[in-house]
Amino acid sequence: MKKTRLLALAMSALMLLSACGGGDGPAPSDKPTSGTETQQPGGPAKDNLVVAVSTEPSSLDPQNVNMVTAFMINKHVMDRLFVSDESYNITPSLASEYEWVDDTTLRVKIREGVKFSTGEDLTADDVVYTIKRACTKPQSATTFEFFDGENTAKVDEYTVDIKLKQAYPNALTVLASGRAGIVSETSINEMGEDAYGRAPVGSGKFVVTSWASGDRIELTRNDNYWGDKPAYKDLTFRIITETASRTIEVETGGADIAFDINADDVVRLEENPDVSVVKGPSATMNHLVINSVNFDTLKDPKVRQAMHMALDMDAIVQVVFKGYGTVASSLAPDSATGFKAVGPTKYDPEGAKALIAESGFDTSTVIKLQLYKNQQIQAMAEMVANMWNAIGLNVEIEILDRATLVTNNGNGQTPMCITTVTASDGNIESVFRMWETASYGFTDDEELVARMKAAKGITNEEERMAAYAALQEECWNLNTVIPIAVADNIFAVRSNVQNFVFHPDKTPDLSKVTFG
Amino acid sequence: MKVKEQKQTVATVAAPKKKSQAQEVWHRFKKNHLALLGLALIIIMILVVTFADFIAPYGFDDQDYMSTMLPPSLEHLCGTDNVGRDIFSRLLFGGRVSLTIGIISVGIGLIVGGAMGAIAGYYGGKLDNFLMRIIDILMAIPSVILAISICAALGPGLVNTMIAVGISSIPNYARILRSSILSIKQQEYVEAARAIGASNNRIIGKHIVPNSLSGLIVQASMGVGRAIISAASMSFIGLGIQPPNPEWGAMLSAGRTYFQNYPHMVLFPGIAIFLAVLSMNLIGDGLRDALDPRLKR
Amino acid sequence: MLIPVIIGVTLIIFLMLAITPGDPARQILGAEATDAQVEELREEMGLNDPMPVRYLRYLWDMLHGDLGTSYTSKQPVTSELLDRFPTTLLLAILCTIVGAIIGIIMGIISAVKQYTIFDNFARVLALAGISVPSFWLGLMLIILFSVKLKWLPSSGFYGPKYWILPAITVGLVQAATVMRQTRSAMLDVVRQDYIRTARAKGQSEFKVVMGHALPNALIPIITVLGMQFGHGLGGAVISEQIFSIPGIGKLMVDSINARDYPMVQGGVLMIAVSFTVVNLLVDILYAFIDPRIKALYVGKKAKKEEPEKTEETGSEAVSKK
Repeated sequence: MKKTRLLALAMSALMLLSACGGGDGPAPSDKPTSGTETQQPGGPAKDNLVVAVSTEPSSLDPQNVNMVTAFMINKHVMDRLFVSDESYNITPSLASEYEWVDDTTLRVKIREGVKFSTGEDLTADDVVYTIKRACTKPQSATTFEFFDGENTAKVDEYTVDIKLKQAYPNALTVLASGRAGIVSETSINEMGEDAYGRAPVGSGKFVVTSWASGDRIELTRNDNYWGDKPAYKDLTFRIITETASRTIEVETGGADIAFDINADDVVRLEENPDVSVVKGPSATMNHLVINSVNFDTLKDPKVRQAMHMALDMDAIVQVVFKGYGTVASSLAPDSATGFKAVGPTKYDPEGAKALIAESGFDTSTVIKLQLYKNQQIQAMAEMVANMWNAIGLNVEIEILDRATLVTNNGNGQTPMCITTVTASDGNIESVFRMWETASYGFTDDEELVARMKAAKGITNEEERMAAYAALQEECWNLNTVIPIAVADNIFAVRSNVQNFVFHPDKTPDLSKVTFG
Repeated sequence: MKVKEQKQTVATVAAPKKKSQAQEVWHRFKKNHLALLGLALIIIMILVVTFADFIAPYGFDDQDYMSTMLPPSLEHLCGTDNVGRDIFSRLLFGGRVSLTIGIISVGIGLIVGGAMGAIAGYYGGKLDNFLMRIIDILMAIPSVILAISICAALGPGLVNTMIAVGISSIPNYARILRSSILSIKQQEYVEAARAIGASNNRIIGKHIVPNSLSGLIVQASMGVGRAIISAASMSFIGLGIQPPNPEWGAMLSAGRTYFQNYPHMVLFPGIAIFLAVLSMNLIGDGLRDALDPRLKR
Repeated sequence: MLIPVIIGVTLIIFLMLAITPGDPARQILGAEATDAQVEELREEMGLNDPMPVRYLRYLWDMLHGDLGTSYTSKQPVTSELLDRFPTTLLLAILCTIVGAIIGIIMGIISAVKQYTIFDNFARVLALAGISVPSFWLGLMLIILFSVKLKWLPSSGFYGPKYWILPAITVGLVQAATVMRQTRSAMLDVVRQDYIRTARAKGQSEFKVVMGHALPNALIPIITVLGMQFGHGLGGAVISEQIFSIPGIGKLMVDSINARDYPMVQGGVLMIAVSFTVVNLLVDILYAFIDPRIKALYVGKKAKKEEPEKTEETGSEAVSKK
């Protein structure tokens, strides 16, 4: 008796506490729809979209950040002169008209009457400021390498001449990319850059209302938006780093859409009537990169070829991605403009062994394979190491934290690592940018690197594609980059969410979503 | 190995006194069925882990891509993992790593912490004050965060994990030894020894250390359990032992992406950790009762 | 007491970060940035100054209440920490409550009914409790309550429903320690003469236990609870990760991984201060709880029996200073 009474007392104390503790957290009204509160059919239309993402952006300032999630969110907050859709078709957005005055001058007329969320007009000055800024900020300067920020100038209040340093056919792609969000000069000056990155002022469909660090970023509809307005009011991004938890949140209704779903969950989710799975090939290549320049042991092309031949890529796709991916057949993902299939290399462990024997490689040499902690990359690494050990090599895996790996990469101290490259906006340039970075040590052939740089400026579409095709073939045969696979992007979506369109870059346009 | 070590220390406790005391302790320990169970469990674990090469049906890195994520069966007692390795075999090999980390890191903590505590407790005064401030500082940093930052600083790997876990347990041992020495120092027989002109070394070696050991032994046996959990936690957030070498925490961590579809991937490593830690705790409890009859209840 | 601890803690963390590989500037800019860009950012961040200069500058700024700006989010460290602190505080309170309620109740019953089935069962359960890795327990609870039963949400920290799983995960492990401490403290007290006297006077068992024994056993119990609460303020690193709780622990791990030096320093500093303050509060609390001290104020019913037993519990994990 006593025991039950005490327990009851304890329970009620706990309840009381939890009831009055609400003041500490966010007000209950703004909590996301949770598992047990299911939408009643016929009730008021759902007015908020909750999206579970896997990483927290460090900033939402488009020119001061280097993360896909940041660009994805930013695209809902800021306008760009051009936009690129799911198939990478580029259409004018903030630009109402544009013309190429010559090879290096793009004259853009800006839509009039567009206002920032502060109420201030978006004018040519903001566009000029944005381009100049993008050319100087270290995290966007590489993308804007051919833009001539200094000579970019306004013609009149709503016209800008964007200057290029050289002919650059991909200019519109860059202007449509995540780094090209038009920022407000006045707001940056008033708020300071750091605060601006936290609460960016743009002219887009949504406005950032709050950012609870480590937890969520809340956006609300910009009712003064110049174009089509979203059908719902609030857009919340919840940051959930655990993959399994993102899935559970969608299954239980805590989120409407979840990014980066584990391939193992696809079958189960597809059986669930409340959830549908949206997936397709991504623009991200998983590859093994080898520093053949700084590390003598990795210099012999025969050994590298043997390493390539020893990898059973089909097995990797089956085991790591559960078949939701494609074996790489080029350095670039299939979605990139200019992609040309040159592979895959035939899986031939016996041939690999023979090649190693032929090269006279000392198989007792320890080969270090580095990576940062990531479930899929680790699984790939364990399989790669296993397959290499099977042909007699001596491979050791080293998991570093991301900061150390990036530093080592930057200093040319990584012998070999598994990492990813994304051809965002279908731009194949980013695939070869790694080759231009000397510290990766893919090649010391200056002529080859010069051709990569030159390819970007070839104005004739056909010639450029031919140049890239040749580069893909040549680089593939060097085996300093061993492309593994392109995984599918997998999104889990509640079944009442409609008009969610898959995007290979993980930057889907959420503003078009409606609820059914 | 652990067991032998304990018996030895028990023997040293007994040495200066009656010879039968070790037997007495063992006798008391024997009556505690739970403690015996723990002892049996840990002995079995140590044996199984030592002879893993002969017992394990598969190697720890035998990948079979045709049979990934299989549920437990006769062929794979604990199922297989995401790249088709036999989890049971990996648990056996992983136990080597986990138990070694547990024992060695306790050793590190015990030696460094014990020395600090003993010096502080015996000599007292300014030295005591200084050492205890260091302990206060170490205590004020949560042990997990301390271990993580040490691991980040030293880089990943088995040895560094042991150092990190060991250092973060220093305050615990230092404080225990210091407080027990402080209380023993006041005992009459120590005063007596000092009065007849025994040297510091003799007093420490003959009287203080043996008599303060009991608390330390109990703590150490439980500390092994705590260290196994700490090491597992570090692996869980991606520090620690490097793949493909198995470690229980790392196996648990690898399984957590899949736990909804394949709970066996987290279930078995978790049970392994639990059993190892539980048996060390049972032994610790049993030893406490056996070593200190006053506390027997 | 507080000041040397603060200086020591900052120094240790500072030294540790100094030898940690991984360049914060490189981490921010990425591997493809040029060396010149990295160098410029390092200069801007003040990373090129000698270590002692940086440390003294840090101390100087700290004295002025400025903990610096996070490398990652570019927000003042102080405001980031204050954003997260309420969450961690709430979680620590909840866990301590769960731990205290379950632990104390079970401990008392176990002590009173020593050697009964309940006692044996509870002791084994408590041993199991301190043996279970809390992150594993968390995953198992998620499987049961979120995935299978769909009763409780598995991630976030937005309201009472969200608090239950993390509080239980951490609380149960704490309860095990509290139960063991309570039981041993109660057993020490129950053997005292004054308890026998109270029993002899014919008081009800409940009154004897709750009125006489428990107050005298409280000090070691409070010590454990205080310790656990103090540690809780440092964040439940792994449980926060599992349950996606934006607390201090998760922030610290992320910051160490991102080489966000100011954030790591500021965070550890805040944790150390709150830990020390909690210890101080616990010491003050003793004065209110210790019957010997209380007796001075209550006056006439002063008990002369000295429950010196509290010292003996030093052999338990929580020897008090």
